[in-house]
Amino acid sequence: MGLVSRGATLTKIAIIDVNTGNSAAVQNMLNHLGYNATILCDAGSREAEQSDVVILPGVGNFNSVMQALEKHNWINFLDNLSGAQKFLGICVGYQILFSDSAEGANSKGLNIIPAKVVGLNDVRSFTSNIPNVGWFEEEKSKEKYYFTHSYGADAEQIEVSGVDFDYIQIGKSKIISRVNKGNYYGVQFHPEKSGLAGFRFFEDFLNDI
Amino acid sequence: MTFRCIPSLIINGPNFVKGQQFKNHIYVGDPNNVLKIFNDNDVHEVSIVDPFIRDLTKQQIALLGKAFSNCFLPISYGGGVKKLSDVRELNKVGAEKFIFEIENIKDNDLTQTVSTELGKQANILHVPFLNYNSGGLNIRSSRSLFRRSIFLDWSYIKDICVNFGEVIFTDVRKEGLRSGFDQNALTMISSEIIGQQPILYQGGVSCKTDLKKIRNYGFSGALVGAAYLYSSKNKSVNVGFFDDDV
Repeated sequence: MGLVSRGATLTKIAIIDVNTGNSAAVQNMLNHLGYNATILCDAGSREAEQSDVVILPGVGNFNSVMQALEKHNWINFLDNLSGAQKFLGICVGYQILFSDSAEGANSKGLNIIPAKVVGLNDVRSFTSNIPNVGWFEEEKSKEKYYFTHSYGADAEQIEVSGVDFDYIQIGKSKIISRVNKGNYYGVQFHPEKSGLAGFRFFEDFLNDI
Repeated sequence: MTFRCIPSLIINGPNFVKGQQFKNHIYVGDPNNVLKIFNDNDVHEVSIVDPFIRDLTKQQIALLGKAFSNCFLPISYGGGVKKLSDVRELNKVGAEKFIFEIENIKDNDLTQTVSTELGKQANILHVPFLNYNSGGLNIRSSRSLFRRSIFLDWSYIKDICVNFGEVIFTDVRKEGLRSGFDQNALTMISSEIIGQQPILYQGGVSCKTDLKKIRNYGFSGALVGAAYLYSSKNKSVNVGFFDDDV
């Protein structure tokens, strides 16, 4: 299951819990890697301010998550991350990095990634089952992760916006699996539910800090 | 996409049990140990159903949470989920998909609420059938004392399926027997249902070849119980895992 990183016990990790995600599953995996992650509901705490990494797990609806983040003052916090802080969004926590989503009305995101989250049936050439559930291999990393989602971002959109990304190929369609822009990171898959590949993901991500 | 091979586990109080045709259950293991073994085998996901429970208690959720903490894989849970608070509590301790019986769906707005809060993919429909014909399926009923089954026609089943992220069809006659599957049943389900959301099959799987055949019918995955729990040649419990890689 991998060695505990040298800096594991020193890295301050905050997991956002606004009743929209499986925060305990993420915390559990990080604990097994030797990290001490704190679950936070509100952004106005010292732990949030002093954190090195902020993680937003996601099992939920785009609109519900944005409203819950607003209610608990996370939108302003995430818009103004300090230079040393990293943000990692998982699933819908990743989708809120985009400008907006087709999931629900008036679904505005953080606009870190200037592109739109669309229903999978609007991804170019997508003909598979919806929701898209299962294990898919990323084209660049060659790792297999667990995905479960009905909305996503079309890789053809992203290529024009100068963002680092990886993607999965389903038939002829390409769906973004992870993005990075500055200190904002996001993954469409669930590393906390991807077994050994998930452990490797978190180790690599947190070792870079 | 990987064809998902999903250990199917039945829980009764603090124990995993296994029977045949959902009857005559016997103890097969402690949830903490069994889930850890499946986790260490890096299986695709696990499914846990409690057909014995009436209402979820805090103690049962705590027990499940402890077992889930050994498992870093997708977990679906069914049984005793009656309120949104049940779903939220289970989600917090590590389950992200919730299984609902088709006979309990009518007039049940919980699945709609779950869909709004967690997304459609959090809802799984379970369709346990006793037999079938060109008109529909005879569904096993556990709600009525007097009727062993209820007949649902294909159009009704299809209408319900669209509200769920995944659907599991279980052949009750084959459950726990490791005797292979009914090819005509799979042909019927495949032609009537497959096309929209992921469809999974359960009942009678005994080997890799069965899994490969089920995949070829267009199913997204299969739930496997006895063949994973009794993976040794004799009938003693020996937890193991195989997938459709033949």
